Amino acid sequence: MSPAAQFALGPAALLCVVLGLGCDRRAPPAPSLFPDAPSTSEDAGRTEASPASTPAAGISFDEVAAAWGLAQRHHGGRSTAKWLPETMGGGVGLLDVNRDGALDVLLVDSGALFGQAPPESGHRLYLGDGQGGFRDVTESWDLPPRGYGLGVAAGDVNQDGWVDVFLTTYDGQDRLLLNDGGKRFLDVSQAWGVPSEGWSTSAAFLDIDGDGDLDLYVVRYVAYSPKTAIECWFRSIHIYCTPARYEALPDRLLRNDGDRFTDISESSGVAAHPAKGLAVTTGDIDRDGDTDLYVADDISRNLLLLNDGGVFTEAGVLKGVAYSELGKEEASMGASVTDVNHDGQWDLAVTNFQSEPTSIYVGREGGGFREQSDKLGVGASSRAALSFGVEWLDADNDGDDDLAVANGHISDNVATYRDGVTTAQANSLYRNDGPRGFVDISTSAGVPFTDPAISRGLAVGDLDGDGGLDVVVRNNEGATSVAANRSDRGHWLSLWLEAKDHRATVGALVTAQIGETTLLREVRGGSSYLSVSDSRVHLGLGDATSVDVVVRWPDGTEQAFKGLKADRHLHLTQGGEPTAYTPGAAVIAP
Amino acid sequence: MVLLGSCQGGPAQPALDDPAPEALAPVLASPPVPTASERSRIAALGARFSDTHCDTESLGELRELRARLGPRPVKDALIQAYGTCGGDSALADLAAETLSEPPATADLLRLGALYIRADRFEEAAAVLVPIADSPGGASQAQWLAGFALLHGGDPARALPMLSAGRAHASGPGLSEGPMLMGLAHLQLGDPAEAVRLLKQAVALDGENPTIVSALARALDDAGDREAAAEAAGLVQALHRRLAEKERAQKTVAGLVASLERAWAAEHDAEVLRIVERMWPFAPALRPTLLEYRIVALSRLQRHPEADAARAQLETVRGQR
Repeated sequence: MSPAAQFALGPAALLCVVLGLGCDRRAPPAPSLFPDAPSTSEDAGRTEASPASTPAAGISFDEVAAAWGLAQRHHGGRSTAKWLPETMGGGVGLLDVNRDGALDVLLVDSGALFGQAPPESGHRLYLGDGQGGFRDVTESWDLPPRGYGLGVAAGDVNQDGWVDVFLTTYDGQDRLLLNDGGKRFLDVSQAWGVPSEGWSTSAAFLDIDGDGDLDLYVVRYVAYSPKTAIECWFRSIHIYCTPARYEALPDRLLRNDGDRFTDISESSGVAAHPAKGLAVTTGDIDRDGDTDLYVADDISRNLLLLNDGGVFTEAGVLKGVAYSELGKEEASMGASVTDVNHDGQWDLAVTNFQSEPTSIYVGREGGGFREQSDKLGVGASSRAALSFGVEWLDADNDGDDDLAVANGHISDNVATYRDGVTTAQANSLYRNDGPRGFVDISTSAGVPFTDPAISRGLAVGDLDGDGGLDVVVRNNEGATSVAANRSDRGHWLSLWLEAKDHRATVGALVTAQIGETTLLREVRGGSSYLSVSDSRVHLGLGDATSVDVVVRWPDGTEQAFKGLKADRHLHLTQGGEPTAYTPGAAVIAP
Repeated sequence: MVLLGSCQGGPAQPALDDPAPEALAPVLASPPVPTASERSRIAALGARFSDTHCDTESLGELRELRARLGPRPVKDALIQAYGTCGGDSALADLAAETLSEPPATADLLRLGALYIRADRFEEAAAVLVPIADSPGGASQAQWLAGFALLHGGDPARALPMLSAGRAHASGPGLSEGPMLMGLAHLQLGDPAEAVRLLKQAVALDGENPTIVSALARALDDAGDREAAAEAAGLVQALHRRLAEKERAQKTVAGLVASLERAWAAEHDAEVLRIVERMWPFAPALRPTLLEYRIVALSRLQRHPEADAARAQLETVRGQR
């Protein structure tokens, strides 16, 4: 008998028998009445479910990426070896780099892990004209083609009024790019002390210590190198490895000291919780006036990092947002926060692996959460997809937030061995029907939600200035998707907030009263997966044609704006009067 | 849905706007009966799946046969395939499609369990609750129905069923029973009762992070912050331990697969490299790894090293 024949039991069985290792860490245990069919090993806990969509009217989107000049492909450099990072990219940023009020688009590209990336690959920056026209300005803005790119974060890190950019990479080449007066980017990574090792995924800007400048939280994944990684097989099928094989990296917190970052991951408590991080969202989760963090981690517990003067306490387990409602670690990919039910508490949407729901953690008085994806109508259909990017958006401007999700499997050959599961998957759109919960309207919401792709990053913003929130999705090894909002919509108001002296605006809280309903929104420093959505606050007003708004600025001062007329883009400066602007019409000087 | 129709007391009646019967003729036409050679082919295809081998070509052929002949003739082979390749949801669909008419209660129970296993809790509850609610409903059905309802977000309906069926719970000392009931109470806003039940569950299975994390949340809800923090710390430690175990397991499993491939291809240098990588992770496999090493070194004409490996193997065997 050859030595290999001794493995006839199969790797998993062999390990269970010989090594006495735990062979199923899923919890809670399954009921005892199960058929004899064995469960899988390599991807245990990663199975599939069937979709359950319901048609709906009113909300619809058109695919306009090609028409708007934004269809650039993502390049992941997929190889026959199936290296883990190839399945992960990329991200998208919606930001206004030239202060003309029109959203610009930054598409993050990955490239190649080995050898030369294709000449057409590389990050792209497109300037928007505010009406759906975009111009590629990558060359003139000096966007560096460094590293295997994954994600993007945006914020005015040097307080000059121009939004800066942080790019994350798999291969330790993260970049901080300062915006030079709306004309180009300057790579200041070295001068600012941006660390240069390890696999970064998402990032978020926030002011951790209330000093007015933006600090930076960088989510990190696993210790991995194709040079030492092993190829993976599942029952003789070559597959992408599970991250369970690799050691988790701790996230990083970089304090802004004016002209450089100082790594305070240890002293802030952040480094004490290494997990396989993929996404981060900011918010004053415990409503104590500062900005907290929620981090979505792959096959690890998710983190709720509560801020207390720049030191963070992890409270995910206690508050019920670390695991599934029944205590299972999930493979979380993306996160987004809003007040979905107008009760004044923040609620979270967290995307997960195939067969796991997109979790909806509903906030309660006292700071705890209950996961209610099934009760709210999201659970069953979301289990049928593997989900990454996620954002709350009021697609029909009726005053409550709907939910957009980017889907796509990580295994490029899953259809050959798993019935009913495909690599390319259609994205999801859930309409918020208030107390009745959510309805999956993906099949009736237009091509962007019916055409399958391997979707990853997702960001939301009003690209054409028409008062409807559009959705941009970055597809792995595919063309970018731009979903232009064509829904029957209510009235709206878009608020561009700027704090005094260009102090940080992340964390500014907006309260709008519409009849009995209180809309609560916060300026986010990060969200979704590898992506950053427009930082302007968008209010869906329904039938209301004017609204009273109160802004609580990050320094704690409150400012009331009475009778703001609907259907306008407004620039609100701390202590100043609101000014209406037309996106793309003119530069609004800092 | 035919299945639900039968569960609720007989086949569903046609709606008034149903198409004329002749329009349904092609749909209702019986699938062709498999020939003897097709039956033999199906059996042969099913036999190609083993614990170590998911044969995607055979699965593709079985899919084609299923499309042509219907699910019944290929059912056993597909169960074999799904069991190897994964596909809990497909397995549930297959079970639903091949139910006899009227379905036996045992088959429905099995179907409900399959839906649960596929995380399709709404469908599981739709099948299981009518059985559990029927006069003299089996306590096993009550347990499964409670499980499905709780996972589907309906703790109020789940609780009495879990209570009635708790004898069918799994885990050390049936710990899953108080755990799920505790979780139901927690979701229903009764942290005191949740704490009581979850402490019972912890006493039965204190190494289960699911139970301990539920207890941590219940304690926090009940206002016992100190105990909650302690439990949360324990949960993290348990998960860390499990993650380490899993990492070792997945690493060795991957290396075993790589070793098999390198061995089959007679890439002896690669075999030696993989054996080296496996060595620290798999002490129990060392005699086998040494056999690989001896053969690979011999084939590479590195005889002194092969002799040394032989001596090492003798020593290792002697120690065992």
